[in-house]
Amino acid sequence: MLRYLVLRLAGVIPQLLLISLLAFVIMKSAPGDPVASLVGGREFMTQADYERVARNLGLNEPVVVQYGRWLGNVLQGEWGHSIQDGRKVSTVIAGALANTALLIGVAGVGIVLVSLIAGHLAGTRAQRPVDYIVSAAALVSFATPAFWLGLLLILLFAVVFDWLPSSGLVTLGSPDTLVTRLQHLILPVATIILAHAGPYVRLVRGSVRDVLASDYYRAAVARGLPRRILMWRYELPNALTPFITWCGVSLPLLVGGAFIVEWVFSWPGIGLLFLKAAIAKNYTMLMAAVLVTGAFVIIGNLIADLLVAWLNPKLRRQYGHR
Amino acid sequence: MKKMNPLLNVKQLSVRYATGADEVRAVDEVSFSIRPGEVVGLVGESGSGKSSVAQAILGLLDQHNTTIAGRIEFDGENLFSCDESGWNAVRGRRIGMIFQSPESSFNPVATVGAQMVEALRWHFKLAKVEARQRALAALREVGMPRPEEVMHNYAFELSGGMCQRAALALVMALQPALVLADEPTASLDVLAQAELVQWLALIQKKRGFAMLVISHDLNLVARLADQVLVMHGGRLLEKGATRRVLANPQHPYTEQLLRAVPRLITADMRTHNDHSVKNGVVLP
Repeated sequence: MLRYLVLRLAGVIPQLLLISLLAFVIMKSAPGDPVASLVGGREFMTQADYERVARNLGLNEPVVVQYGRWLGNVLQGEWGHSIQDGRKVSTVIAGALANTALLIGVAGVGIVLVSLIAGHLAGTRAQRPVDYIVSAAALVSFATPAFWLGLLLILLFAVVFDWLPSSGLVTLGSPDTLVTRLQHLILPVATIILAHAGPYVRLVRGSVRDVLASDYYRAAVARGLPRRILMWRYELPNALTPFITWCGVSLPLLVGGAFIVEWVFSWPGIGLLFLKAAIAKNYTMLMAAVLVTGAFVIIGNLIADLLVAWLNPKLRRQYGHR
Repeated sequence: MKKMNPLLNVKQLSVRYATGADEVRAVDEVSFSIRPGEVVGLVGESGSGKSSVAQAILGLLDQHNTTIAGRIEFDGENLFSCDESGWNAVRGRRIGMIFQSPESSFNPVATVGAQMVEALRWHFKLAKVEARQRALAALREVGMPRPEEVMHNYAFELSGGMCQRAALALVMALQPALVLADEPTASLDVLAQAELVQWLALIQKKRGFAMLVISHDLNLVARLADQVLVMHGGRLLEKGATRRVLANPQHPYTEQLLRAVPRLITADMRTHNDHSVKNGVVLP
C-alpha cells in the first residue's frame, strides 16, 4: 500500500507541471493585455509608461523566459503579487481556497448522502413508485444547468420569499455570526447538490440492483441474514466501489460546477477569483488559481483511488497488506 | 424405513414468471415430499423448472413478476404464511442451500471466516470467540485443509473445489434439517466433483439431515439419492426409488435422459462389484 501511495504521489508532480505549462500557453495566446487592463485601456497611457509597467511586471520578455522565471519562483514558494492590485497572491489564494473548500466540502457530503440514500431506496424498490420518483428526479437533476437553477433559487428564496441571502459570504452592515454564515451557505450548496446529484443517484441505484441480483446476495438471503446485515455488509460495501470511482472521475465536473455557482452567488472562492483574473489577464493570480484547482482535483482523485484500492480485497492483497 | 411424517411437503406447487405480456409456466402442479434424513434427487435438463422448485421452497423467487400457487409445508408449518422474521428463522438455520457457483456465492469483500461467524452469531446469538470455534469445527468437518488459514481467505483466493467445500461448511455450521443442493458440482472439475460428492455423502450419513439434490447429472443423483424425481417442462413426470427409476424407467423422457448419459464412464465403473450399471448410470 505504501509503495502504491509513493508511486501515485510521484505521478502528481509531472501532472501539475503539464497543467501549469498548458495554462501558461493558453493564457498567453489569448487576446487581451494585462497592462492595458490596469488603467482600462491602452489609450489612457503613454508609450513610455506602458513599457515601464510592462518591464516592471516582466512582461516584455519572451514567453519561455517568463514561464521559466514564474516556475522558479513558485518552486521556491514565491507566488508573486497580483497584477491588478499588488496583493500577495498566496494570501489571496489561501483565503479563496478556504471558502471553496467549505462550499465543495459541504456540497460533496450532501451529494454523497443524497445519492446513497436515494440510490438505495430506488435500487431496492426497483420498478415501484419510489423508484420512478427518484429516477425521474435524477433525470431532471441531470438535465438542469447549475447557473440556471442557482438563479431560480435566488429568485424564489431570496427575492420572492426573502428567507435567505442571495449572495456572498456575509451581508454588509449585518452581524457576522455562525448562523448568518450558514444561511449564506444554504442556497449555493443546495444548487450544487440539486444540479449534480442526478448521475450519482443513477449510479448507486444501478450498483445496488447489481448487488441484489448477485449470487452472493441471494446466498446471504438464503442464509436467513436480517435486513440490517444484508444492507450494511453486503449491499453498501459492494455498491460503494463503483460509486467512489465515479466520485473521483467526476470531481472536475463538480469543481467546474462549483465555480459557476460561486459566480452566480458571488461566493468569494477560487472560482470567482479565477473568472475575475481571467477577464483582467491577471496572470500571476490566474496561474495560481489554475495550479491550486489542478492540485485539488488530482489529490481528490488520488484519495478516491486509494479508497477503492483499500476497499477491494484483491488490490489490498496485491499490495502486500494482510 | 418406518413411516414418518414428511419433513418437507410440496403440494401442487406452480410457479409462473411474467415476461412482458407472456407468462412462462416454470413449475406446473408439482407435488412431492421428503422425510427426515431422506435424500431426494431432482433431475431434469436446464429449463425444466428444477431450480425454481428449490427457490420456491426458500421463498427466494422475486415477488414482483412471479405468481406462486400451491402449498409448501416444512415440519408441519406452511412456509408461504411466513413473514420476514419467520423466513429468517427458517432460511439457513433449518433449511440450508448450496449454490451452483461456489466463488460467486461468497461476499467478495468479506473473508470466508467473517461470513461464517456472521451467520453463526445471528442464528445462535453466539459470542465472537465461540462462533469462530464453531466455524473452524465446520471447516474441519468438511475436510478443509488448513482451516485456520481459510478463515482469513477471500473466496477468490480459494480453488473452486475448496470454495464449494467452504460453502458446504457454511451450510453445515448452521445445522439445518434439510439441505437444498442446486447443481452443487456443475461448475467443478471432475476431481473436485468426486471429492465434494464423497464429503457430501459422508456428512449426510453422519449428520442424517434430509437433502434435495438438484442436478442434471444422473450419476451424482444415483450416488446420493434414495428417491428420484424427474422433471421436464415444469412437470413432474416420474418419481420413485432411485434404483427402480434408473433401472426400469416408466416414462419415455426418463429413458431419453438415461440414454444421454456419456458412455465413457461405464467401462471403468463396470469393474466395481458392489455396483451394477444400467444405461450408463452406476446404481446404488
